[in-house]
Amino acid sequence: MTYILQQLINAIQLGSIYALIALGYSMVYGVLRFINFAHGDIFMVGAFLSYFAAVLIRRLAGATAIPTALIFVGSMLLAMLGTALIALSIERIAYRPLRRYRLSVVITALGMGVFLEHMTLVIVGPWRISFHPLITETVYKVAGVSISTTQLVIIFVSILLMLILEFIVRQTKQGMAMRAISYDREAVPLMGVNVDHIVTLTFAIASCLAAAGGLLYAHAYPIIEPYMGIMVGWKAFISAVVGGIGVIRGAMLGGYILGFVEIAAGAIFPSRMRDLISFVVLMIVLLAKPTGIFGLPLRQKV
Amino acid sequence: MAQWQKMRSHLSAIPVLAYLLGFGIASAIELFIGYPVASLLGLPTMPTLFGIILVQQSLALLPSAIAYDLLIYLVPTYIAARLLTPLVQKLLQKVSSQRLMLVYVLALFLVALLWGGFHEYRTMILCLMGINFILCISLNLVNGYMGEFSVGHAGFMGVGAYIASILTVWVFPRSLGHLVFPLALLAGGAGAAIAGLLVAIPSFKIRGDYLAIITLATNFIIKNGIENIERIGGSRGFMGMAKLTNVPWVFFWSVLTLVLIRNFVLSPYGRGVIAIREDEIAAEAMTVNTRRMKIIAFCTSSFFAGIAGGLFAHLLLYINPSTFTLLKSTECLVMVYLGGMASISGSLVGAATFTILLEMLRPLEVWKWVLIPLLLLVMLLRRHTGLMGFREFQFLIPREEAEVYGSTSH
Amino acid sequence: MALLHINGLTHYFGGLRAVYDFNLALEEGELIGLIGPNGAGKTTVFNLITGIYRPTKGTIQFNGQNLVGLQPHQIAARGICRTFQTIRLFNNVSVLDNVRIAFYSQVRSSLLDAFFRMPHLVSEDKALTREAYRLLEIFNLERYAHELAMNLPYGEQKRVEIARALATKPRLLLLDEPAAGMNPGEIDRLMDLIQRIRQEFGLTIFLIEHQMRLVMRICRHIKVMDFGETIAEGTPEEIRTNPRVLQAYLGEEVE
Repeated sequence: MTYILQQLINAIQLGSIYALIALGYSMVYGVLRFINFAHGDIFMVGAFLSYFAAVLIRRLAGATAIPTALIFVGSMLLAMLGTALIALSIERIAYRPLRRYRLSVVITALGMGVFLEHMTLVIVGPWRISFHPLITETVYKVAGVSISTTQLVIIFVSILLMLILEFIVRQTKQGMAMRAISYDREAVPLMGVNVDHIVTLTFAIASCLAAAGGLLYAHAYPIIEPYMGIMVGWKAFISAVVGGIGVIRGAMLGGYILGFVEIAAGAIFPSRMRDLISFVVLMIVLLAKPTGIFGLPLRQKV
Repeated sequence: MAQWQKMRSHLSAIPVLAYLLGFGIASAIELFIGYPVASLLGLPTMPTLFGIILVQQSLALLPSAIAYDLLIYLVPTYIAARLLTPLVQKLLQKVSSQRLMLVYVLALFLVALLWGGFHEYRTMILCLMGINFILCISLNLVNGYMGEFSVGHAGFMGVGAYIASILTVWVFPRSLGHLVFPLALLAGGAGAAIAGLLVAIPSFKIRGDYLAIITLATNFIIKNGIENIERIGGSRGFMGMAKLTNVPWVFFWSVLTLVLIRNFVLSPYGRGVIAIREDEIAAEAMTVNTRRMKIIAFCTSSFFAGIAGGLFAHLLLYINPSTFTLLKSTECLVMVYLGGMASISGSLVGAATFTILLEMLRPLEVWKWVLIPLLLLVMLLRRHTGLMGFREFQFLIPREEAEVYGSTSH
Repeated sequence: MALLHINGLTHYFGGLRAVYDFNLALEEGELIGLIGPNGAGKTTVFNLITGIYRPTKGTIQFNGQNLVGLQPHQIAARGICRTFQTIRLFNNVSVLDNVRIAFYSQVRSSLLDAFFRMPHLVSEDKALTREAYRLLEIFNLERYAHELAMNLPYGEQKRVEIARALATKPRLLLLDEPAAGMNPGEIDRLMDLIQRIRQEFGLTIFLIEHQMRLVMRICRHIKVMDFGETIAEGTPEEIRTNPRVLQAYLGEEVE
């Protein structure tokens, strides 16, 4: 029993991170009907930027002691800012001009992903960097199950961010515009909404969430390297698809589903088959219900 | 300006075939005077790839490299081409279009042998070009002609590579070598074609982005699947193949692929595939059996990817699953889009350009993969269907079609 | 025996009833029309006949054979062809190729013949190219033969669609709003065209149309649909004065 509860905590932790990144895929798809294959690498950039931000803050502080919580929040905000800038540049320079040509944009996205990976490799070098955690690690034991502060922070911060997102999407004008665009692209500009602005906002939010995901992931698995975005990106992508790509609730649910599937698979099957199983799950979902659990319908009028 | 125009029209008046033969003659001459000229110019060795590699090692060699290219390649090629032009023009008039393709193929083969000669490195480049061409044109069949979005081509390449290698290393006796090579390749292709069904059947109901995701998933599942089979080496890879891939073999398979796919595309079945790209529902309404066509297109595409994989395996003599990931699939996509969608000529151009580009950028190592996406982006921004999108070289179009069209549009 | 026999055709999209109890006995050589307000289910009937949807209930018999459950291309090969409400040409392909594609089911050469470009296939291809060209000539479209379909003016595109449909050698032709977007002069020419092809090709024609001018003039029998149901049926005179029809089109205010 305690074993199951333990794994449950692990699954929720992993799922939270996947959900944060999956949201990025889903939001961009909802607004542009385009899968940003570079998003996993945006997550990786976020992880690296939060590392450098933490180093920077510490150096600026010098001798004065700053509470780690502040460094944590500061790094996250700085990483979000940097990641958003990079993602928006890519959107502006690479995606927007090709927006009309569906196939070209997707290829470009794949290319941008490769670009980000190798640019990071050039800047940082091939060595893996050890991430110094910004959370004082304490392990609590509740009902025989051990939970660490790291896990609590990850879960808490993720849920907080998702709640903020919910607020933005449901309660603000821009959020409403985002949802409107995902239902009917053509009509929205006719109502005075500047689609480009909303797209920019969407990319910004998506990359902020990915950056946060990067920071949190680096706390859970404290080794970061330029290729880390590939596998995590794919898992998050699978989460988005399973939950229904283009739908925000779907991304969140999908993230947790995949977290559970992966932890469960890891418990039953040999660990090297973990990735394979996630992809098989993807295939099954795609074949059974391609639009995912909460998916937008595939409309085709004849 | 006028001088430039004059030169341009003068140069383009010489038929391509003449240039090709001229280059062959230059290469033949190089066999004899290559080394002496190189050392005379102060180059450490005879340049293998037009001096590009040498220059990257030492920038000071640039003037000598340029001199070499002029003396050995450009000038003799031009002179020979000029001299051959009247003969070539007579030949082009006499020969039917079917035979014309044969002439080009023979000429190209001759030139490849002459230029490649005994240089290991050049042979490898030529083989890689051929393999890339097969990958490119097979992917173009699905992405360009059928308008689908297959992003997992490397998976099928991997299936072919492994099956062919397992056959030549474990099953067939080594002494039979070249005799069983085609069989092994065909088996690899067949295996890849069956794997292609994994994508073909979902494609009946699913299109666009979702199908792209399925092709991705298939690629990963194949790669992960191979990694999990310890018997064939898992993630450590597989080796032991004999170096059976050579210029003649690659040439043979490249030409075969080109001819078969070109024929298919020109036929009513090929038009059916194109109809699916344009409007699947209308195609069905006009009697096109879209399901059958999809299976044929996907399986043919992956079949040839498998052949390319087998050739690749017997060139590098070592394969492992991480060769056949999304990065390799992306390479194939870049070639297709660079060269041009729905264009066989485009696949030729794309594959050749890309292979040389990769080699040129190799010393840059990591920067290579920083530059290539940027190049791709610039390419796509300028012409979003690729260099030769939807267009073909004249010699690839049979007379029947040319009469119908009277132009190079497709 | 009727060429096309539809019995109790009913179709639901989820909970939405699109077509209810549609019946038809269409004799060979007839020209009948299907009218009704937008959303009445007319195109859905076409889609059901041509196999794009599988009907929830009901039977469709063509030439004595059951059509329900067949793939659209099989139904098309049996002799039912259609045009679309919004033009669905193969845009990036020449007009000639648009028509050539429709000969697909008549090709006898095998796939292997295609891969190796056997003389058998080449001569067959030549023959169908000639036929395609002839069809274009009948429609006065031969000058556009090598033009990309999307570059043609709207009216010409509509005619290409019809020419393409005829390439499949149909016995029954379903025309979905052929006169959409046309002015009265063009409609007159269209009417002549429809009559002409009906005679020359021995076609049975079933058309959906909003333009009353066209329907009343050339159809001998008309069915009227509203909200998926057949609300009236008869000759043009009968339909013209039918109060239910007027009500469906104009609403409750009509006395």
